[in-house]
Amino acid sequence: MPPRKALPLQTTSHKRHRANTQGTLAAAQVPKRRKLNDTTPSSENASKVDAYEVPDSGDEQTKPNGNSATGRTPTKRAPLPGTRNLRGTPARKTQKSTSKVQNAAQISSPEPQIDTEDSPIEDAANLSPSKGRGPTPKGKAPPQKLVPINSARNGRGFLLQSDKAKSILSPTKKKSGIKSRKGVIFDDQKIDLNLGTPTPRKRGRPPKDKSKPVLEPVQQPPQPKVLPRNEDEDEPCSICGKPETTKANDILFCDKCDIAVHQKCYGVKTVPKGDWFCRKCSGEEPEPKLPTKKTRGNGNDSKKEPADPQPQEEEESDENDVDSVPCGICGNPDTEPGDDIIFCDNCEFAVHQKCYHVPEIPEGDWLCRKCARKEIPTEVDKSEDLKTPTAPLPVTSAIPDIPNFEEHLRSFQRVLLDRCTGQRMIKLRGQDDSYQKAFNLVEQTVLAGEGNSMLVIGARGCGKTTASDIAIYDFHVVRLNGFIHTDDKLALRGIWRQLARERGVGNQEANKTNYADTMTSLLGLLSRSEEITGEETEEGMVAKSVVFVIDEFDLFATHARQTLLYNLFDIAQARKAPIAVLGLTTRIEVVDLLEKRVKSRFSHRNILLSMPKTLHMFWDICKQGLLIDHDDLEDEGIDTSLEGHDKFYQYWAKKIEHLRKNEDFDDHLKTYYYGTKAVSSFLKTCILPLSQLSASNPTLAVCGETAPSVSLESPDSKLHLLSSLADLDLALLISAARLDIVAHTDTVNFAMAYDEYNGLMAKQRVATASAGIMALGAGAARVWGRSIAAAAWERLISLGLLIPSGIGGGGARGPAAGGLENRMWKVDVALEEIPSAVDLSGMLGRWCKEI
Amino acid sequence: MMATQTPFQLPNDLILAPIFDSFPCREAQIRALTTLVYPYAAPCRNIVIHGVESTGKSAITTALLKSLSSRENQPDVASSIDHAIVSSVECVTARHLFEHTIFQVRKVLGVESTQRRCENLLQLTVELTKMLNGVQHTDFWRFVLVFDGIDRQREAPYTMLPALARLSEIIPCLTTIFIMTCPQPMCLREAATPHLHFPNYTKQELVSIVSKTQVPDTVPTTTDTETRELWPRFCGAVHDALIRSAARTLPSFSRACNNLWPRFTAPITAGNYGAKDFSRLLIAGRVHFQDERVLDPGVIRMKDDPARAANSQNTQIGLTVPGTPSKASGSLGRSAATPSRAATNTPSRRSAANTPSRNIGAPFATTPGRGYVMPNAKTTELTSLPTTARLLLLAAYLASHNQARHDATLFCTSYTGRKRRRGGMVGAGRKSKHKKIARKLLGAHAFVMERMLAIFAAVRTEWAPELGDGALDADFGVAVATLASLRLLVKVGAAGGDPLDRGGKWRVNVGWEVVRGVGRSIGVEVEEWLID
Repeated sequence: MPPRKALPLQTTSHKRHRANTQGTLAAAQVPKRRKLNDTTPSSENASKVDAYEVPDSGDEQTKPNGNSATGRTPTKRAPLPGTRNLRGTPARKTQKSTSKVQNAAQISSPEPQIDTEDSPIEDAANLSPSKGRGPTPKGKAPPQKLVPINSARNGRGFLLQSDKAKSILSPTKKKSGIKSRKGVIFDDQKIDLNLGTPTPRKRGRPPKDKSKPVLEPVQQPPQPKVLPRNEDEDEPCSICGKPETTKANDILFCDKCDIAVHQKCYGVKTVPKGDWFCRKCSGEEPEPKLPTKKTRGNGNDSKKEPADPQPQEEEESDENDVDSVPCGICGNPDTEPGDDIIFCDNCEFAVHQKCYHVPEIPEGDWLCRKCARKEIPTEVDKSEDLKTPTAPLPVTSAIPDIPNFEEHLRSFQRVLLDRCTGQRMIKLRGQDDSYQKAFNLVEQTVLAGEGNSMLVIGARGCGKTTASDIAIYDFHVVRLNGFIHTDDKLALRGIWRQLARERGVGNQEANKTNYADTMTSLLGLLSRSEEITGEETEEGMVAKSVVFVIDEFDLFATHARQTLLYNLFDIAQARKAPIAVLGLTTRIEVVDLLEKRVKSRFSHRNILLSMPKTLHMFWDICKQGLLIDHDDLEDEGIDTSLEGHDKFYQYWAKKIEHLRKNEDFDDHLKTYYYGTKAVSSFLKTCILPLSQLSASNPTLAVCGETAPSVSLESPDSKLHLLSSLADLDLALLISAARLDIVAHTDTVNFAMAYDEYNGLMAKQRVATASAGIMALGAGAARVWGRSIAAAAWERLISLGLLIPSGIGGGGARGPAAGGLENRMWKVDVALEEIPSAVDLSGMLGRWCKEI
Repeated sequence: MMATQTPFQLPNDLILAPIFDSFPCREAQIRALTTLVYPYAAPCRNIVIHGVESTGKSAITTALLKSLSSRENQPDVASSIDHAIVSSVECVTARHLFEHTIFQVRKVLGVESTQRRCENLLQLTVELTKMLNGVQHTDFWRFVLVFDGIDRQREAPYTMLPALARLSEIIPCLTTIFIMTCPQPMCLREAATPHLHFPNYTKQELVSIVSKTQVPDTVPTTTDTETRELWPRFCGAVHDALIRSAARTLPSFSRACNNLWPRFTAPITAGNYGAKDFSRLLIAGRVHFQDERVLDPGVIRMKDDPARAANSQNTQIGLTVPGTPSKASGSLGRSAATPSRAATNTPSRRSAANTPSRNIGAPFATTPGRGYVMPNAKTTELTSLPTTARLLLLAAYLASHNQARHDATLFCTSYTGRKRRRGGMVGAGRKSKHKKIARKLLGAHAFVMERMLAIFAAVRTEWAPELGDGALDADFGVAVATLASLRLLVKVGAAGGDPLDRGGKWRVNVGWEVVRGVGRSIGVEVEEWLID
């Protein structure tokens, strides 16, 4: 046997090899880069997780920390119930305010008959507005206790809208949780709107409430200490925004409003023992200058008095006296031009511009540093810098000042759209092991001339083809597809044709009509000739390696006797010729489909391509459709030398990062992650948003209100057709679906459905006639004739909502089958699915419900 | 990779403007489709366009591709798109479809070839690859292949759809568009295909389309503007009365509007009401809005009912109204012979094939008093059959629609004295919790020839005493053959059996109306012989 040297071929395979090593290098770099990427998002994730967890763990855990830090007594918080949901807060408040009521009652009514043993829940249940307005004999808690529950109000009307929008539209508990807690401070009469309690009407009379001293403690209750963040990561100072503490510069928490400030920032020289109040809170106290002397019992007592002036302020603020809310830092309610009091749109934190270093009032929403840090973690770094405190304006809203902006945008769009539409390959991520295996196998075949076979198994859209394409790159490939090469004869022809192209074999061979001849000559071509002919081959001749890529491998297993697979595997296994057989399939049990003799020739090498295992990995792959890696810019043909390129790249990367934090987008991504994990189906939803970008509107809106009105998603089921149907179509469909349940038949014909329809309509007419409604002529209540109904029935058939069934007339066998009336059909939607898919009129809705 | 690349670019709005005009209320879909097809925008490999019938899928795709590929529109850019449209409706088998596809592509590209046969998907792939790769074009040239109504393709192999979707993987410059009614999930076995949905028109859209595209002639005694104001309000009323409740498609809407308009405006023409009295006109024309014939005009115009006769003059006016070339204007239902695309787009696309059977098979076929009567000519023909054949037909109908256990009750002349000889009160005691479906609704059942002959023997002397007793056997064979050849009787099961085998199973293939007519022709009320 001659040594394998084959000059020209060697060179090509060398070239190939070099390309491959480059490929491996590139591949090896990928994970590194990814790791880098990993770190940032994962830490973001972590912080995000924290933020999410806050509502759950924050209440109880954070307090003790804060207390230990500030040296406060934790007793105050002890009675708080540990319930933790949004609606759970009332219980806590109620309890607290029970004690208040007790206090208040002690003051105002001579005979306090308060049941302090009343559980908070009872209290809440007993709340009634009329009683709440004064010290009732029973001393029931006033209604205002419930007020703070979910009211996220401050005294200013202008916040109402944004509050509402947030609380309704955004599902995160994070925000509303904070709001509900913070809302206690800014309680007012508008609260009733959100409140599900039976009290709203009565509490809509603020003036009276104001006059009653009993209510007032509730208006400004010592806010239950609820920190929105886990205090393991310190609460940042409200003034400087930094969470760091030193011994001499600890963070103090006001025991009333929970504002957190550095000692130095607030000018508190020594940490007081016991409770400490900020200027705002202590300013409202009648004995305000004694912040340090409070024990717990005293503190409770003292709180009934301070309430007097404060609620009035509150009420005033309700009546649009804007200036009356004091600054959270200096405690002074006065404002002057250039030093207004501004309110955080999330937590209602009120602060002077100068105290908080906000040189200009921003347009749109303004968030305090605490909220801003929570909402947009990346902004923290900036906002910690006192010079740029008002960071969290959305970056995307403005058109940045970047030279050649449009050119940059257009070229990015080109690359990204090509990736989204599948015109350019995206990189394989997270499949390095699998890829390496495939690559090694092909490499062995190409370089060492070994025969190999391997199956690549993975779900649709996980990158089987991509993996094999990258591995093979540009070698002699014969591609077969189970969809196209539907039997072995066709597959043989396909192989011939492609080999003719690859290896210059005469095409006339392909025209052999005899299957056996074709097979023989193919075998001869692939196998080393000496094995066939028994002659020594000429010096310098060597067999060329060929890679067979068999797409939809499982379909080949259905071909008669699996002849093709048998022969291919046989050649690959028996060292007759250097061929590699790569079978791509989605069926994990594909090996079981093989016959024994075929199976025994298969090498049993499998690669299982897995879907991305975490949301982060999924996003990492999907991101390629929205962002170009820095290293790939040159490869993708983007002109990096154009002025402003770096700036634009940063701008774009930042925008995508920002988009990822958008909740709508996050939901969208999660839908695909938890639904199919198919990257390509996610990317196709980005095509239209990407194509709608322009220099004047560079905001990418994949989902949400600004997204394009047309979606490219594929329909889940036939149910979306129902919205296109007319009332009669729906009525017949419902009648037919009812028969399934009512008459226990799974097949229906038109006569049965129409009879049911008529029966239902008759009942409906009786019902409406007794109700005195003449419903005859009006739309849906009209009984349509048989021929119209038959047309509607045919429409249902043509839409595929009715599926022909073999029984009773031999299916769709033409007119001989008994006509439209008698042909039996199966209804393809269930009765209970119908109301969920379409808005039904009252009558049709009832038909679906009442059996 | 690519050293130079053309930046992203959408086609000029000037190209699209005429399409927006001719297909109102479809701007979003047109723009999306343009983006997905245009080579300089975001050309996709495969596109699925789906939606219910007559929502403009095919028409818009055709018009858009035509406009994009026409040379005049893009003087600066080299022609960037060529397209071929293959309609599955025109192809009888899959092979027909493949050959048609090759033919269309060849015609567009101007390639000469002697190869005519294309039997399977592999040959299709090879031929397309040869043709499309052989053509010299710019880098951005793309070929768009449209398969219209591919989900209705007859005799399609089950791998056809996925294989057609793989064509664009093999041929890089190809974009394949599939137009279907309702794609099954993953019907292309591929996750990446964008699906573009053409939703049904809403009421506002329907009314605005009809009021834009077809404005009727000015009604006499009114001014032009009055007519123009009245028309949209009238269209809205038609929609509420007929379209939303029974047939939500654009063609049926425009047909109904055009049909009703002359009748609706008759009081104006007569001078009873002015054009401004919309509500009064509505009340006056209420009968017309409840007229079902507007939606199902039938095929043959048999006779005018009095209401129509009174308005016949106006009807003539109405008939001349719709003249716009848009597909929406469609054909008037009455002139069903019009070979317009609209006719094939309506539900009648299926019913065209089914109509005869539907009318034969329907036991309760036509509503009495219809102006357009389905072809009942068959009844008159049937009454000219020989008496034996008619008797056999009736006997077959009874055998099909009566249960065998009632036969003794119906046809025995002797009285047994006991209601049931065996079994006692079967089924009477316990009532099924499910509703029982009336037997007549289940359609004609199969029966054994022997039973039909027994019934025939029982009723023969009573129904047709003049036939006498003798010489019936020969007549009987001829009669069965006649009925079978007319397909009034159908043999069930194995097709090749002996037609005179008395154990063979048969089913009657005529409806109630027909049988009643036949029965009356020999003086028998069939109704009396039916037990439910």
